Amino acid sequence: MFCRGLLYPVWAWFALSSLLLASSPAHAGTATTNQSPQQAAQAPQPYLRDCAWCHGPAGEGTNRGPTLRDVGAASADFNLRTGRMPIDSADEPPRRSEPAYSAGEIEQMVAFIGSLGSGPEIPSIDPQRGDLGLGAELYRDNCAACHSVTGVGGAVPQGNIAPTLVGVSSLDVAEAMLIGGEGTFTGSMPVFGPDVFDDHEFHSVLRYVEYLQSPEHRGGAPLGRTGPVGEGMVLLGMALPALLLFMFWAGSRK
Amino acid sequence: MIARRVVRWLDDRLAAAPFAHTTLNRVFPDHFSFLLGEVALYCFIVLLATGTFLAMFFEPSVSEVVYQGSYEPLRGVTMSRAYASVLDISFEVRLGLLIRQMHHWASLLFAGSILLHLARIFFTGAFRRPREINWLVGVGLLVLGLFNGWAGYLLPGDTLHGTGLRLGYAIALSVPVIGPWLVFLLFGGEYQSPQILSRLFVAHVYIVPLMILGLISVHMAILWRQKHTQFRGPGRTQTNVVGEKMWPAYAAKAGGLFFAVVAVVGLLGGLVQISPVWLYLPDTPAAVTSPAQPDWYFGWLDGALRVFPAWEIQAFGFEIPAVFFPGVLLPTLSVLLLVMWPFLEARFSKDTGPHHLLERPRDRPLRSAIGVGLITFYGVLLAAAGNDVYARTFSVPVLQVTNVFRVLTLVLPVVIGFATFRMLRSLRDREISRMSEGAVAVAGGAGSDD
Amino acid sequence: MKGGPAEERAPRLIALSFLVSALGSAGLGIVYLAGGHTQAEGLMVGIAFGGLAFGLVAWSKYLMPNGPFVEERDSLSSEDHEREKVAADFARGGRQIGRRRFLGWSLAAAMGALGVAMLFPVRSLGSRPGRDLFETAWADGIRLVTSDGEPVRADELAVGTLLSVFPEGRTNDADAQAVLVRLRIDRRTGGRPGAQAPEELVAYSKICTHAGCLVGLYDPRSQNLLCPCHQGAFDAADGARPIAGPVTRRLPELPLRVDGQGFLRAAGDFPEPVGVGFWNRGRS
Repeated sequence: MFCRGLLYPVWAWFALSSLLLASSPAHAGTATTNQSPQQAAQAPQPYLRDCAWCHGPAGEGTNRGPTLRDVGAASADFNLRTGRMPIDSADEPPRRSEPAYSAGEIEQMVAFIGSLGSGPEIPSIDPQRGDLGLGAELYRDNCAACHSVTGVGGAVPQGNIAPTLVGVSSLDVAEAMLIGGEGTFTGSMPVFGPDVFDDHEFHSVLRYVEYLQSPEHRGGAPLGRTGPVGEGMVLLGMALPALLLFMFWAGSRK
Repeated sequence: MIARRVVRWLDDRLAAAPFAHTTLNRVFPDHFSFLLGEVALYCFIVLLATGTFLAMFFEPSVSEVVYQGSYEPLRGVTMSRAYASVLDISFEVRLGLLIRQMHHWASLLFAGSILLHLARIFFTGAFRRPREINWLVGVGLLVLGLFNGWAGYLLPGDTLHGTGLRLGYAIALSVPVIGPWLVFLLFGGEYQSPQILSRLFVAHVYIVPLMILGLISVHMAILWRQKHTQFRGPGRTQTNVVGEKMWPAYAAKAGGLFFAVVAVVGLLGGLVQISPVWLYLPDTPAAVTSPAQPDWYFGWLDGALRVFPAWEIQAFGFEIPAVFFPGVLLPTLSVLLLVMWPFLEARFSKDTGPHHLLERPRDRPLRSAIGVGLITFYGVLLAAAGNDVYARTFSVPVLQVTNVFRVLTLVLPVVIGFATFRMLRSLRDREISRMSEGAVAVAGGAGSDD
Repeated sequence: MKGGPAEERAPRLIALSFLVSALGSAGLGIVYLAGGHTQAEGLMVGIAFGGLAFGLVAWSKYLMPNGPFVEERDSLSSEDHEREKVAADFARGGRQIGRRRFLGWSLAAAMGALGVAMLFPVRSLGSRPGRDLFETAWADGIRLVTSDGEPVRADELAVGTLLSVFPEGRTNDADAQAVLVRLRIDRRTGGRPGAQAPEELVAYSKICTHAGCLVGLYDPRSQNLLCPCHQGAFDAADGARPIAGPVTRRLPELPLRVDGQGFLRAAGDFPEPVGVGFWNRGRS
């Protein structure tokens, strides 16, 4: 009967799905890493060597890259520490990767760029100052729409991605909020500066995002926080095939 | 000894001995695929049991309360009593989270087993006379089951599932002529009406389960009366049933299957997290989350809403909004097609005699091809519901992903349906030619009965 | 009947299965008394029921008589004379009505009237739609506030910021909610400027005109408002015109003005119904 021929495909489907689902990363959309750019040799002026080509020797901008006036130390710190700058290719939006410079070099360059006009300073933060419950509400009302209420990020239409917040430090989050999209160069993130959040609210958001690094998952395997999509895959890939296999055994196949 | 005394006691009052005798010796064909309907039934039993437990703790109230329970991140946050009661079930009640997750997993499994069961009935032609009534009852069960899943998962009032309520509102509102009236009747007012939660609760816990129970009873009574179908095989004819006896073999097997379903639901409920509403945060009028998907069995509808183009009909100040076509028309036509199928096929194939022997898919290549094509169609729509998740995962613009799915929706069902038709027909033709070359007396030729 | 290795091993394995199940049930009790732990509970349920499942099915399959047994089917079509008897039964009663036509009709009329009357409780479930779908709580002079009730100053919003705003005193109002955006002034290309409000400040209804989800995503670079449910996109610099996705209509724009203290107020209600489409939306 044709039914005998179904046994092996169902086993194969079950095995394959289980393997794939079990080997998925614990958090979907964990920060991707590109190949790290070559480590710059210890040069006294890494900016002149790597950045001036696009941003101009005095940060004034060229036709290859925007001006760095008024972007602020926070922007420089964010982009350099998260490896978004130097950018691999001017055609692609910057992506998180390994930083290309040592902490000392970054400090030098941040000081330089911060001195160009007036932009957001590197914030001094202490997430524990915030209130977790307030942070949850503010996160829901301001961040969840793009970054997903569970923090794993999402597609922002018109081609952009709101990245996952899992594996992101509180300082990164704080700086991104202050500089917004223009600073992170994906252009999609609004600015969440002092006119949106006061100090307590700001830290509350930071505290909740910190909580999202490892939130309550006492219900079991979190399936990458993909919600119904992951749950549907478990049902169709594992639960139904498992029951089908039991039924194969229990019933006859003739 | 005791058994005999019990039987006599009952029989003196109910004259049940003859009935018991026929029941215990009743024969059931035991093909594995006949167990799918049972799996659906057992899922329903699990839903009833776990649901009753949950209903003891759930508060269907939108009144606000400030949470002071043990889940620290939400302490001090204002939320509905409904949401707070779900947090309590998950964190304060022992076994509460397990039973809550079992309930939700069972609902996913319920939909899946019904659909597999429907597919089995379809591909083997079991809906033909005299089983058209049971087919209609089954379609009713499917629709009720899907509705109850929707009504159930939005009861907690979290941001993810609150979207489902908005969509239900929009879809109901888009019905021509009666939309606004219908919505105001059902919701008791505009979208934010405070009554909608308790109404959905009553529907989910009382009205629909009663209807499902009633329909299941009819379903099984008809099955009992007509006896189950069976595949062709040695010794099997139109006028007999070959298989296992109810007692003890079939009863043991059915009981075992019930325990297996509970075991699977229990394992899922404890080991795989589902609907962590504490992470989804309480819904408020202005809360948004992305990505937002419904439970899997509504994926086809969500995918249709994403994939269907921005087409609206407007004339003389009246309009049929874009949501109507994928949201109302598509489901209605789908149910209509299901309902009409046995009658359409009987008319088209000019086959109105009774059938108790099942066909194999290859015996009806056209029907099977249409079935496979339809499954592909709904499958592509289901896959399309994750378009923003794919866009994020593969860093591709979501519009491109959507356009790919638009093409796939139109092309893939036709291609796969056609390929299925060719493959099955050639399988059948080869079989016929092999059989006609061989012996003349074959038990049951392909495409004919007896 | 079966013979062979399966039958010999089976009883022991079945008993073992039941024993494992019992251990699972006991385990569940232990986990429960120890305070509960969802994963352990689920595992114990799986073992308890799974052991029974395997044991029972194995018992049925390997040890119980499986036949094949044969049972005859009754014909589902009754004999013709039986059907005629039923028809005659009905006809006998039907002659009653046939002879007294008038009674039959009056019964039908009474049942019909009762049927209509039975619909009235259903009518109590809801109200007439009336003007509700066409109006919101906004009116001229109502201040814009954020979800925590704070009024919004016209000059304190940075470029590229998105704020969810409500009518003052109604921060839970589902259909009045709006998003306030500060555009880059050089990018404003269309839409209707609010009376006496800075041109770069715009407020639109937050309810997507496709299926009612909330348009809570904003991309400052393209100045697009985005809806997460079905990926609809609106151009905030051009009257929230739909530019992508299954959306057909723009988001209604709330006219704005600035009051004497610098706070933003509405200059009227939305000029068109907010939210999803409905049959008579164009006939307010």
